[in-house]
Amino acid sequence: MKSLHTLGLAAFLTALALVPVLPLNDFYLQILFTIGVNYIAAAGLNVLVGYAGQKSLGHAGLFAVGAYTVALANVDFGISPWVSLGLACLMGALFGLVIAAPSVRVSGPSLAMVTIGFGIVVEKIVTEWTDLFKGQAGFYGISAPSFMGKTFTNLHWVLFVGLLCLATHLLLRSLLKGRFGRAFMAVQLAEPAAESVGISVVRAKTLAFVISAVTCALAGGLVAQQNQYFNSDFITFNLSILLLVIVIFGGSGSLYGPLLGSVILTLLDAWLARWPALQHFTYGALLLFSLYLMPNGIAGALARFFPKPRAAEPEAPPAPTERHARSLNDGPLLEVSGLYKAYGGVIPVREVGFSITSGKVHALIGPNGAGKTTLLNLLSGHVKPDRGSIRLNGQEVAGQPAWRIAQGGVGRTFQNLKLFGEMSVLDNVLIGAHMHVDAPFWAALFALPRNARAEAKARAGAVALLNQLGLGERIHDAASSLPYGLQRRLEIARALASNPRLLLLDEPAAGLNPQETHELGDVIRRIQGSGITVLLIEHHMDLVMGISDHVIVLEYGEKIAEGKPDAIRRDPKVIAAYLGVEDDEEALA
Amino acid sequence: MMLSIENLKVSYGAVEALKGVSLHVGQGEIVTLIGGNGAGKSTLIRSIAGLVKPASGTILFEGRSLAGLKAHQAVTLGIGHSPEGRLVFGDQSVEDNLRLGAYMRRDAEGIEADVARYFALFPRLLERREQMAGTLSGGEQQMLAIARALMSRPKLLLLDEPSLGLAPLIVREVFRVIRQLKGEGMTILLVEQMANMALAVSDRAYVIETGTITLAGTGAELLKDPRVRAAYLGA
Repeated sequence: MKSLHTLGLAAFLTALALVPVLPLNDFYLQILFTIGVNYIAAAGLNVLVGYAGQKSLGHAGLFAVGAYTVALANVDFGISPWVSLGLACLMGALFGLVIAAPSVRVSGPSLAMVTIGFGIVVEKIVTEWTDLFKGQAGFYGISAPSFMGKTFTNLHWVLFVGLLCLATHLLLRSLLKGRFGRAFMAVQLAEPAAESVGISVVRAKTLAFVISAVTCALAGGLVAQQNQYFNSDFITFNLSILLLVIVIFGGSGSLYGPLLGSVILTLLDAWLARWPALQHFTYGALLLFSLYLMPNGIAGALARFFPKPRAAEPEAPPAPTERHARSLNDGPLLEVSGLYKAYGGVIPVREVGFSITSGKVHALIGPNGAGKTTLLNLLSGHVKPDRGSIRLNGQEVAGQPAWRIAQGGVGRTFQNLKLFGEMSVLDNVLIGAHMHVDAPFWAALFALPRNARAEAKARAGAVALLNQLGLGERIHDAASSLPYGLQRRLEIARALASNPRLLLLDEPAAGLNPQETHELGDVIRRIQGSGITVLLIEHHMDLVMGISDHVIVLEYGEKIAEGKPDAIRRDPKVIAAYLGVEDDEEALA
Repeated sequence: MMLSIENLKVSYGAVEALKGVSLHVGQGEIVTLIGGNGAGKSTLIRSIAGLVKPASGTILFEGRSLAGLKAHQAVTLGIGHSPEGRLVFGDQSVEDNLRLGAYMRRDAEGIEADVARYFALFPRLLERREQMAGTLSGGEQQMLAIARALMSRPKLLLLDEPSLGLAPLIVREVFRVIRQLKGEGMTILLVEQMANMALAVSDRAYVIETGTITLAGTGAELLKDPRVRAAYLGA
């Protein structure tokens, strides 16, 4: 893969160097320029659509932001072309923040509708507010940048945009291969799981919107400058569609998808321009059938011929698993009181209070539908309580978002598994370690050595953790290809990678046979031995009674008993509500 | 013979999940498959239900080959499937989920009787009759998945880990139902991690390991088999 990357870079630079010597007339130079601009816009949009999973049909609006920023700054205020391009990116980022806001509340088709609305509003503003934006008449005389005293010619434009494409690719490649790319994918594949390891879904989506907004605004600014004229006719719904189509047709979620998409679709567009009647028809037909045949775009179809070489993992030195420096006071790690949650008439948790002691294994049992999972969701912040208090290490956390509670040291697994199914086992664990990969945004974007060091350390840690949990053989397999029981274990590995103080396990033994359940008991004891406090929901009484220091029993949302396992086992209320009386045939077994 | 499988092979990409499995289930029998995680139990169940396409081998149901049949056609023939992992229709009410299980049936009275019967069997579901299935707890969804499979009045019921996520009291209840269904002449192929209880209700059982059947016998024989006890009963 690495050599392919180097080869690609060399080929691209050679091609770029050949542009000045080839006999290309302005028509071809224009096509090359358009490919480049489309690529820049689509590469950023791919971060949003392909990685963070947010479909937008309004990016023409952001393209307009860039173009009009350049036009206004240069024509009306006489600001230099270079500075105007910078301003275009800045304005793009600002508008990216604006359009990101609704994505926090809505998703899927609804979000697409909201972004369509944004595109239409922008289109109408630039068309109708003629005093400022000059409508269809447009801006004349937008200056192009100059280099060493010479204004850009079409040839210069191609070279300049070519280099910008290269820069965009390299920056996004570095960003997407590291913790940010994984965080985007995590948000796309399973939001609650992303939050459970400390990734703020809101921030990740916002960042993706801003990245896509900056590249689209930059593309708009470049088009305005190269064309030296810009009017409202450029900003149409069709442009929004074209940008999205480049990403999806090329292959969303692949680094090279936008490249393939912009080259093929721009060339096709230019070729079909001769037959305007056929142009849109062919376009539609092509999309209809190509996506039917290649659901993952061209990049996805090609990927089948280039199976990913499985990079041998470096023999990981058993990474010293650093744990939270925790004061080993025996006080309560978590104190819950008066916790209450209702959904309409259903009240899964009513006035529950208990405390979790540092370093112990606690179990939460009760009949199906007693509110155990809801209680766990309240503790992890995935569900907000109506009232009541949750104090983690003395700090009130009730009502805080899940990612913040995760950052406070609470890890969890999910009853109905929420793995990042298409991603590898290793990547799942790396996402678990997200908070502890010491690579800030700029380091990741510019591929600073610090980023590489942090990534290597995280990988070594993740491999070591997977080896410890007996998943070392399968680190490159897709998480969804593991059998059910191993998927449960992978959830534990992911939660452990987030280095929690308190680990919440929701039915970790479901789907395990008695032997495997027994082994799970050993795993949980080792986890406890490393200083992590455990709270588990389980129906396997052998496991619960064997490893717990303290058992809490819920029925109809209320705590009906708590205490040591032996006392719970004999408690008549618990026997009546939950355990039942052992039958003869079991005594036989 | 209700179901007979000869030399069944199933692959997922390069991974061979079943490497030539042969087994049979007679009319009115309860047959249990036990095995570790990844042994191929669910794959076998899913191939019978028409959800996985075998690479080779034959599956005969009442003497008729199931090759090339889709999942909904298997249901029409009388194969009911309660899938692992609670796949209920989340945006439909509990009662509608049950009635959807009877989609292929035309006997209105029988359907009403069965709805009443399974509500009686799982009182929790009756309490939540109007609730959307997606808002049920995990264990309640599991009860619903079993009841829905039963609503199709299958000749052969495929139960994939019915005890998953159920409270001990309910697990016993489910096994009581399994015994009762057997009394009514239903044929059941059961995959279950609680091997003790499963073997106790089974006529026969197979042990499956990494895609191959390694042991077969009556439920009582396997319960006593030292290899089974060591590997699967945690004894």
